[in-house]
Amino acid sequence: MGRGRFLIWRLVLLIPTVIGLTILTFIISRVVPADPAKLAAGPRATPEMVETIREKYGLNDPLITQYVDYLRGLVRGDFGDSILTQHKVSDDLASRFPATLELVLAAMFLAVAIGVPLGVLSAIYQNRWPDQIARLFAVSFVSIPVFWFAIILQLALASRLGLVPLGRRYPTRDTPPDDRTGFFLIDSLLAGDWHAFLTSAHHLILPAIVLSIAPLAIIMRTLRGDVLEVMGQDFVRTARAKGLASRSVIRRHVLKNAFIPSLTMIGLTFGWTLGGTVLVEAVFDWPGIGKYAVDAAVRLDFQPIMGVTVLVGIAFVLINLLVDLLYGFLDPRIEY
Amino acid sequence: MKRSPENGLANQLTGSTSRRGLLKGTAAGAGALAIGGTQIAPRIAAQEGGVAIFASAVDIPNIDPGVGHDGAISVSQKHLYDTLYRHMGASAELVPWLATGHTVSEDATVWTFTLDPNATFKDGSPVNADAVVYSIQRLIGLNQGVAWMFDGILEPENAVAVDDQTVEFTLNTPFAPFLHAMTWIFVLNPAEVQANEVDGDQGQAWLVGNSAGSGPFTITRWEPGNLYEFTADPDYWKGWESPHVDGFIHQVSVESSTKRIALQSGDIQFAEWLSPQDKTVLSNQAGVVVPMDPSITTYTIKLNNQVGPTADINVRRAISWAFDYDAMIEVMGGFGTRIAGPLSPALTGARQEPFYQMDIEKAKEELAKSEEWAGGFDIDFVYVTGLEEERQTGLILADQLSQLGINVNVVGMEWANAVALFADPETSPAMFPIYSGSDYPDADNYLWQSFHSSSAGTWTGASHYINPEVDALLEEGRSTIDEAARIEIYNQVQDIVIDEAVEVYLSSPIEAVPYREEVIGYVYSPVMGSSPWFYEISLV
Amino acid sequence: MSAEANVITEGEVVLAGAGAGPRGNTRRGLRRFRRNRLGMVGLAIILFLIAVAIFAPLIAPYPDDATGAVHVTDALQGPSWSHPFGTDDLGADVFSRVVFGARYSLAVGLAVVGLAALIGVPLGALSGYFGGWINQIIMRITDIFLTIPGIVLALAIGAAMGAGLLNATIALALTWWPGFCRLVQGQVLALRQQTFVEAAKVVGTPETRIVFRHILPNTMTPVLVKISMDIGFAILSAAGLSFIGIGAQPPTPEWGAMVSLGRLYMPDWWWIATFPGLAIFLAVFAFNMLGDGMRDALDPRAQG
Repeated sequence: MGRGRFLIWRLVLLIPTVIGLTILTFIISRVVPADPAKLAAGPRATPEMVETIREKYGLNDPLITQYVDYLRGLVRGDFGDSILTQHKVSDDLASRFPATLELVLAAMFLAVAIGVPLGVLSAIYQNRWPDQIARLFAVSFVSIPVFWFAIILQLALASRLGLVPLGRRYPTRDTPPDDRTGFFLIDSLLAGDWHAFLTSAHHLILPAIVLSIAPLAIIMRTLRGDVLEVMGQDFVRTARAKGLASRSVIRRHVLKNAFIPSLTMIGLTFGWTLGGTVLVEAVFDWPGIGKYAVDAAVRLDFQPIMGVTVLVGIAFVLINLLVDLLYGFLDPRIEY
Repeated sequence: MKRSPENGLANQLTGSTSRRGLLKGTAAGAGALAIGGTQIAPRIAAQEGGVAIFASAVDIPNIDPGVGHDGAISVSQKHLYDTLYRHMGASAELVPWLATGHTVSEDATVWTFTLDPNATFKDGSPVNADAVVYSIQRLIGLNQGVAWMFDGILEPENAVAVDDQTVEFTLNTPFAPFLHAMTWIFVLNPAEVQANEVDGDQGQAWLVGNSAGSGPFTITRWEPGNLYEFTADPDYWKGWESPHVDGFIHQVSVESSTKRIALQSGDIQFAEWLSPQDKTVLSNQAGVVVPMDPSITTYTIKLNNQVGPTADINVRRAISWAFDYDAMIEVMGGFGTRIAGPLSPALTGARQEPFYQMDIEKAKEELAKSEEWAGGFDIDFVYVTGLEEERQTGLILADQLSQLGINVNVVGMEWANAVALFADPETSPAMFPIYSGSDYPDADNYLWQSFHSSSAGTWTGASHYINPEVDALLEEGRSTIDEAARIEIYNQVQDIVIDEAVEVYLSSPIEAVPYREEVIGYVYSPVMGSSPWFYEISLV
Repeated sequence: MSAEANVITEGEVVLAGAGAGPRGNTRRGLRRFRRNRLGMVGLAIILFLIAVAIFAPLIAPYPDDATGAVHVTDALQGPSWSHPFGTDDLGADVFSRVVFGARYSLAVGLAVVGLAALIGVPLGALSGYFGGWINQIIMRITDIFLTIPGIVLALAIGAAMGAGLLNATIALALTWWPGFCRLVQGQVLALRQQTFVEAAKVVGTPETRIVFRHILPNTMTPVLVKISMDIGFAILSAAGLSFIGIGAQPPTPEWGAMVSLGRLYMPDWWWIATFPGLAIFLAVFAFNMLGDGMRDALDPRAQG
């Protein structure tokens, strides 16, 4: 199968998965005892007022009708309206997703930039002290409750030492760079505004560090394992036997081959990190979809929850698709 | 025809006193002195300009006057829109705003308002009688937001534009607090709404985050879940009476401590929704004022009067005698006062002396009178997930009631799940703590919503209390214009619901919205959503 | 090759594609495990935590505080001899609550993973053994679950079911089972071809019996490894749900809920959040080391 056809096929396969996801969340959202209409109507609402809202959002229609309506909207990129705020969920997601994505990308950048070299070092020094220390850190990093780590680092670095802001994406008083991509770092560069760039980075660094530790540890451990496995393989032994210096063997043969399977893991950790934002965004007042999802969940505002679920699901699948494509570039032997 | 006496009704509302008192205010030099609720500061110190940041845990999801209604939303609405009358200042005095005055018929059914001919919307068109009629009809038609205020009182077609400057409302039934309700009719520019209508939605999609009002501020930044910036309109039709800020930003910040630290460092000027502990810390800080303003909000535990153990009056009385009120105030960090009954002591006509005190022996006596429940039982206390003080209340109550052999399950529940339970007495929680804010300073606003049988099943009517005698009294109160007579009626209602222990009457919060000393002109207003009022606020 | 075939759950970091070891390996593995230092440390910590959980009423100086006793006058005191971890907003002894918290966290971790295995293992076995449309349906369902980070889905399910530790446990288990399902399906697929299964078929053993008597027991080693590796993450996830208000509710002394409460009292009253957080870390760390050790010992093909 050619790469183009493979891509199309994978995108087609995405459709039933997304439909399944919507059915799943839809079922979840409709079997609850909650009465969102009543909540939306307010404390002193008359029964007629509640009924008006129920009518307006089609909550009196048969479930199947409600679901079909939802799907029909989804095809047009319409995630429905929040019953509590009456916002279009698609607008909310569009304004918040860049904040989350920028945060996750920054965290993943840190995780890869630190995790990959650490993983390789760990493998090279297998079972010697650098390896032992690195592994201990790795197992510690995946064991730290990320929400707690957020609070503790906020206490230490922001509150006590004042090194970084307590939270938020940008100082409230200042206007962030022109919205072109929604990523403040990129937007400020596009605008040639160094001050804005540094300000954004200053706000981004703490939440990014907090979110990066788990993927960092996972990437490090995976890469270590993959490097060890490749080092044990015949062609590496052959290269060594031929007298090639150890370092060049590692650079030329081992790294590339070890990195390919690790890519899958990087793709997966990206998705988990995206999920991890629900635990830390609120701590940092980060205006992304994680905080949005938690707020909606606590108020049982299901249209936004479904929106986030579907969006994150699609993002997850697309990232893994991207990983698969990268495979092909890195290793031409792979056939789809 | 005679003038409505409503203006004076809230005059018992007392002003604020700063926790740190006078001394520190003086020490701050040019800073504000906080005396009795008004900021007395030399005019020279106040300057034009600057942007104040108001940090709150609460978002402003929808400012459509026909839809959105809660504290933070109302603050925004009041800056963007004008109303016929406004509640102003610590005593929540009714001040004519878009109106120049009004008349009311003897029987309190026909209300006629004359409008200020100078009032204009942002596009220069006049704020006329048609706009007022349009706005109230739109509200009642959409049947959301504060539409409940007019339920059974005003039919939309009975709001009539007599001429450009005169509006007349003919009510179905006498309604003495009607003038208060007028402070909630935000007047929209019909042309602007219609221009932004999509599929006959009466502008609902657009008005979520846009204003069609004539108010002193306009929206300049709108980032849901993050921040909202409001900018002063230099051409405001009513003009500006005093130095004022260029604008203000409503910043959404969840964490209490984050806000506290930002306030200490001067990054923000106001911080709302702080924990009692953080407020206490701030009250010892230089540069920060922690006002102590009695509110007209009440905090009570709704008891299910229809089903289960709490349907038994002896059980309800036992619970009321068992609660540790002092511990509750302690937990609130002193930012609360005991209430005697369902009304805040700051409200005119409220009963002042608490009847129930913690007395376990009395509680045991009362419980022993119950045939069915004397031996003890299991009972649910349902609070809203995330509301700290409600959770603490539950734990205090559980600890006390265990001495009576009553086992309390403290259950956290999401708002949406909880409100779904109220509709039916069978599912209504046995005990449910609730803060009831007031949309206007009048006993009717609270008592009707809690104890009139027609309210049973709403949030505020979660007790499902049904008493024909109380119904009759409340109806009489609404149609009585004479203030003294009304107070007498509401005293009777209070005595009945206190005696029957319909709810457990806990406390009325002391509002403390700490602010920076450089803020001048902040006055707490007890009506929900009336403070701060940036029209009169400036920064040193 | 596609990434999808490799989709695995969080805990199973390096286990992808691990083959089944015949049952005899288990004993040898246990011997190997005993020589694994980190694994043994993990085991020791877990045994310690279990002891704490069992003897909580004896260890905790103020057992009543764990169930919500209120001492308003003792509120918000820093660590001292009488309150080693300080007191919380209602004057409860944080140390006592952390001690009792071990019960909840360990139980939840076990319950989530146990439930998930209970759902996932049989489904995976059926799917792998029978193949065909059964396999297709089950695998497509796991696909749906695996397209979304578990915590997000658990948030939705947990919120819908209503806050509470039991509901959070169920919500997590419902997002957790596909990992087991996939793992067992792969194992069974491989085992199905092996001679002892063929032999059983020839002698006319009923198919369900083949699955449950002959095949499933042979997949138990990797399942056990996965269970031991996942418990830590399950504890972490449950604490996370409690932290955002969907899980355990006060006065339940669950660690995540305690951190959530303590967050409100940062930074001045730091002990309320700090100690329960450390407890979570310790428990998860121990299970992760145990899991690593188990994998190294029982699953020699996986290195790491």
